[in-house]
Amino acid sequence: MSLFTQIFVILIIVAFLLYAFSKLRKEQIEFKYAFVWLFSGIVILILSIFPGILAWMAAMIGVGLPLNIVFFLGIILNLIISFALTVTYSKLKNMIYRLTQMNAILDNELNKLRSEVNLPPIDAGETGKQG
Amino acid sequence: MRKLLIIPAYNEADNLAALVREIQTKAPGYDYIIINDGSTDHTAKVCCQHQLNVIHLGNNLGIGGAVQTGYLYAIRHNYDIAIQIDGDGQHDPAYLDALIMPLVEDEADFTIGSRFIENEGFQSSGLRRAGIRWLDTILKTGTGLDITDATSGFRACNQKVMQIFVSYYPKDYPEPETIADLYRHKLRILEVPVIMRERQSGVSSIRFFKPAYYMMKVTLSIIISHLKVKKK
Repeated sequence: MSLFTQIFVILIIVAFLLYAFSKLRKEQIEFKYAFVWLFSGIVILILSIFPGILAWMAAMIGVGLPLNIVFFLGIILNLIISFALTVTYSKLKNMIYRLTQMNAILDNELNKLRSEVNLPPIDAGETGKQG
Repeated sequence: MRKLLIIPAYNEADNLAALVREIQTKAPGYDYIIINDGSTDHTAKVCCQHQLNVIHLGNNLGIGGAVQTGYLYAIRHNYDIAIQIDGDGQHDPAYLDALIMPLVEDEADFTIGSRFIENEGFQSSGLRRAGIRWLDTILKTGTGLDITDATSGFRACNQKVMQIFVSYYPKDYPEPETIADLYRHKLRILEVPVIMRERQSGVSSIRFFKPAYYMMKVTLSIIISHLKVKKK
């Protein structure tokens, strides 16, 4: 790795880390989800400051070009992050489903109560819809 | 015993009023709840005009989420038996008493209305029947149960099953998978012969390229259901 490449990578990673950290400070991302990004950023930062680690790893695993290790690690990290996101997404979907269901049931029950005291129903069929 | 009909409806404006009228004449002892799954037609307006008992979902949740809403409602309102019946007029309310009989007599926890026991009435196309037979075979391999109409949406259950459905219900193409789920929970499943009609209007939700996805998804989900952690 040339010195220029090294500085280039370090600058990008530092900018990314600062951005992620500012999001965390503004409470725009949860620490739980920021953690994996910060962690991978720091790993890449260490690797770009000490490229010797990459060369050593490449020799250990038997990869000819140290740069390929970078790609390999990058893909693995991305897989982990996307999978974690899929798990979170499924959990969120279940939560949104239950919220939608309970909200709609309560709306039905509210309108029944209203009709008992001779109030007109609140029309949720049209107004409550999105998109 | 309090009995609730759960009617999932997505763009069924033309069928609902007639179905509810049919229920009230043929099966007066049954309450009903329509789940309007974010319909884009006049379903909501029709329900309002005829003052039908309806739950309007703000987002389109799909058949699984809609039916599950019905089971949630059934538990909240303390119904003993909940029956799922299609909003398109395929299922004849005249068979309700026969469908819930095994539940009332405590011979089963869950009953399925099957059109392939007596092989009478609307039998669906040959390709669809072949698909259903394949799912029956998958279920039989895993559970030993002789199910003839795994995809039937005409089904009844008691409170034990309602509790399970409220905690987990598949989101799309749920029917065959739920049978495997209930078997895993060691519940008693029974089929009852019924005669089904052709849908009155509207179109089936499973068409175009969906059959291929349907068969794969349902086959895999039945297998996965068997591999899930067994509950005591």
